[in-house]
Amino acid sequence: MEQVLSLVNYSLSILFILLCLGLILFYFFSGRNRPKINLRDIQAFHHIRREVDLAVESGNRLHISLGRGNINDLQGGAAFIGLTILDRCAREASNSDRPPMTSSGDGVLTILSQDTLQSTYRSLAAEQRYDPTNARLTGLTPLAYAAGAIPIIHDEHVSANFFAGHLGTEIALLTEAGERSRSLTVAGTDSIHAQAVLYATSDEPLLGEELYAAGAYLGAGPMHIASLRMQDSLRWVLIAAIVIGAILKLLGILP
Amino acid sequence: MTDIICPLCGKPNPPDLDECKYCQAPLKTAGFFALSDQEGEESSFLPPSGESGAVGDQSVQAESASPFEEGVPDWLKQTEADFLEGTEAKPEQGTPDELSMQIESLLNQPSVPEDTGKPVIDDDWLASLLAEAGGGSSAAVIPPEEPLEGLAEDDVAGKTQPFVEERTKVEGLLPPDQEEKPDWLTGLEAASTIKLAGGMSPSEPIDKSSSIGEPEVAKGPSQADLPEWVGQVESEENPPGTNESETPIAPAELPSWLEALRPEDTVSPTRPVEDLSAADVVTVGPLVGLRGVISAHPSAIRARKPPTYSIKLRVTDEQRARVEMMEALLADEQKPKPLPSQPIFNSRNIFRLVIAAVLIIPIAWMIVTGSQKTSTPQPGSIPGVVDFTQQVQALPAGTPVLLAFDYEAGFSGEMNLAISALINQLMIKNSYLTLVTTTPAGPALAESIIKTSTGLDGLPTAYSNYTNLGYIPGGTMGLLGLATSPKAVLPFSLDQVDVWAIPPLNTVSTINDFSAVVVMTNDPDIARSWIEQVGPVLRVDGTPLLMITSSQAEPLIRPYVEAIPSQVQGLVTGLAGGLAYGRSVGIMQQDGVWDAFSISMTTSALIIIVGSIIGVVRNMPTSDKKKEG
Amino acid sequence: MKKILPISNAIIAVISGVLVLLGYFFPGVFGNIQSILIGWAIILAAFALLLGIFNLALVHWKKAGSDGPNRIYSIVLLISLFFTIIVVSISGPSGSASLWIFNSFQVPVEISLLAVLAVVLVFAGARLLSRRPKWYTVLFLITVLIVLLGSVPLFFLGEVAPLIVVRNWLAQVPAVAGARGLLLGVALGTVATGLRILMGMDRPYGG
Repeated sequence: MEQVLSLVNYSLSILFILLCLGLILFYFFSGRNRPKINLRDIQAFHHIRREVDLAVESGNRLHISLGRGNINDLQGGAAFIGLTILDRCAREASNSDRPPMTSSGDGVLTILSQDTLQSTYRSLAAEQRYDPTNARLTGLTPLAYAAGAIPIIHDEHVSANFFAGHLGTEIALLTEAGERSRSLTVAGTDSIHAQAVLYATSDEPLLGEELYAAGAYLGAGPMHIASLRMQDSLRWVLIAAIVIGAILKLLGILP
Repeated sequence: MTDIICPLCGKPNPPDLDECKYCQAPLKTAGFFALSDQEGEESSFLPPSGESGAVGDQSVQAESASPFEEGVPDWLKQTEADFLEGTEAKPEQGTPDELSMQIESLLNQPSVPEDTGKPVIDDDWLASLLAEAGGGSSAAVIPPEEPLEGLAEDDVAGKTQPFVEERTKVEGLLPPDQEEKPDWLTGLEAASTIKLAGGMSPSEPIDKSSSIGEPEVAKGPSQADLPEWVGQVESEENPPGTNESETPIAPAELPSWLEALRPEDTVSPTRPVEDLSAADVVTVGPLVGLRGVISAHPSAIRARKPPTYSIKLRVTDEQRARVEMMEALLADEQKPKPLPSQPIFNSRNIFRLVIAAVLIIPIAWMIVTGSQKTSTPQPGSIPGVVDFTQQVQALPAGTPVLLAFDYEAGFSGEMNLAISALINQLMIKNSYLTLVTTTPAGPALAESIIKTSTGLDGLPTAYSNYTNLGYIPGGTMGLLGLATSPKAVLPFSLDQVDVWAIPPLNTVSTINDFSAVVVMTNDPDIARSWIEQVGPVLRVDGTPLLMITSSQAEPLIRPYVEAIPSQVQGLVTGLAGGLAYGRSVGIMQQDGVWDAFSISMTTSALIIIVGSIIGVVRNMPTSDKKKEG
Repeated sequence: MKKILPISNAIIAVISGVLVLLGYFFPGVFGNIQSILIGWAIILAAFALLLGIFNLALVHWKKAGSDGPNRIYSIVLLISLFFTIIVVSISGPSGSASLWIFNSFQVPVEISLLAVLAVVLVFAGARLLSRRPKWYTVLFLITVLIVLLGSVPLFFLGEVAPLIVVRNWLAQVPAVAGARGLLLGVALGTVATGLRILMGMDRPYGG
């Protein structure tokens, strides 16, 4: 019985992944010939774009913190979104007097952030602006990571802080530091209890899966829009499945 | 030797040169003969430009100019020479008038009044001469005020360029009745007639055989030798001259369309536009006596080196002060203005300090006094504690138990209560404690807990039946590897001992071989990773998975506990769960922690309520103003 | 080379990801290669940790050498880092000296930071209604108060049974439901992100 269940589990998993893949490809190829898709207005991304422009004009720096998520875990998804945001911000602020600075709490994430910065500047033919010390590992434990990122906010002429990745409740310390240094804070995390903290402490929180829409809102490419549409489609499917399952359970059909 | 004065630069040049050696301006066509002090009688007539080498010295010049000079009376030559010599430095107002009148009398057309049979002659001397000559002269002298409209262009050119004369044959110009007159008068009349007829082009070669009207020249050819066409020309020309001597030139009748074109407001062209009374009088050259004209003297039109002007700006003191002010303003723009630093004691910081004091002071008081006013929670009132206790008590003695220390050092205060009680229970059972962690600080934390654990009597125990396998890198992937092959993932302990080769771990090949797996974490994601990666392997053999978590992870872990089949067999959460579990195993806390926790929660709730009320009250006036607006 | 390297990076990443994914669903066929690749990933993660520490030291070395206002903190960090490395290398990770450093410095500092975090959260909760005057902010604050007051017997009033019941219901029903919904959305986003990387459309590795 358990083997059958595990087989069904594996089959459903494969089917689910293939369904996601198919939807992404479908939306990608069908969306190429369509006009621009209107996305739901999310104020946080407006603030990101505005703050990038303001930072370039004022000669201040952007601080993008990728959290402490391990890419080998589930938290890796949020970490990759943080890298996407880093890439977009580095492109937009490439001609700023002070280039963006990143902080992270994981060694792999630090290396990836360095690589992202370098490839961004290389693609813009501005590789001489790349400084490997602009991507920093600030600490290996959550509180050490927060304690190491706070000096960046205070001392590096930061005008805006973007937190995107896996961050826990220690993010409250970072948002507090941002408020003390009078810099804007836009934060999104996949941690649920951290999102509750963000609602109370951040200027512009990204709640739920809004973080995963960052690529689509910041113009990272049509594939991001296609994957966002896939998420929306499957979300409705899951809602329908949960409601139907609850009704069946109430009716006693489901054991 | 007469040098030629260059008309451009005014410097003397040798007469044999065609171009000025200083500025390379042509000399022959417009050159002046320099008047030296020794040479007083020089002709100012220009030699024709076509001649080359003909002008070498004064005599040659005289010879080349002879055809022109032959037509000019000597008195005129002498007059010009005198003027060039003496009147250049001493301009006399009276003299230019006289000279101008004289020249004008020579240049102007003879005008004959209509009502007079005799020609009108302004100059008395000429009149006297003519009277002596016994005849009306046909060469009427035109008064200076006569308009020049009737003149042909050649005549005007001839007047303005007295040195350029048109060569005409004198024979045809002389009327027949002039034969009885003296030669000089005849020549004079011929000269005036020639001037009336037009100027001579300078390019025409001088025909020495021709005469301009000099009496000497006129002596040669007689009218009988002149060709017939000259006589015809003469006859054609004479009547106009005769008519002119008798009657003034009537103004031309303009057609109506031309009359209409005449602007109404224009000043009569005959009248000078500007007042020339104050203008300088030309004292040298053929325009001597005229006012308001460019002097033809070489010194007047000598090309001078343009004056050099300093490139330095003339800046006044006021302008200099303004420039300095502008520079200061621009310099200030480059300097970033430092932002005003926030005062240390502002309302926000004071509020923070007040909150911190309100929280810390009661907590410190409770701990210092060891207060136990608040009743500790019962094991049965906390779901999951009883199951946890039962699972631990059911463990066989001396069996290996896997302990995962995946919580942060900062949560030690909340979780150490439950962990210490668990360690104590396992020590009593003499279980072999296998310590692992997926956080970098976990090994030190685990080692510290084990070494500081105390027994039931509260005294520290030196428990050695444990091994610390250290840090598992790779997160979730490391857990998967640990679940399938722990020996491969953690081959040695922190002390570099191959613990898998010695009992009791030599009997452990997979994670199922442990009697229980206890995960201690504050992060619900780590807890979920253990449940999802290691739990399925544990469920195969029914190995219990127990958890000690922080209060913040309870909502996410509780469903796994309440699931059917349960994926977590026992759960202790937070300080309350730890106290309850401790109470269930007989460990009672006496240090006032629970009272401190209780008062801190109460105080926090009160602060939030008060702060929210204050915030609402402060925002109410602004919201009313917005509504009114 | 500049063109070949990004393509080769993408190919390696895609093939590795697909093999590990297939190893989950077909362990008999791809299990061995999955184990090998996971082992390599674990080794690389451990080495990346060392590189991160080196990066940390380099950054603070530069700051210590500069004339910034807070260079003293970088100097302290470097001294602490090298001192700890030396002590732990000599004493061992479980040695008494290493544990003394851990217990004397890291544990108190982290506990203090958590205490500061508690004050910050209380301060943020007190200002929340003035910062976001919305109806769901009021709902949020009510929930916070119920959880706070229902988690522990009140100091002057003791246990308030209704509060405890409501608190337990809130923690087990709405909170769990909301958490599950958020987790489903996060899972969908993670799947989408992973698939983008597996298809090579998203290259965070500088390709």
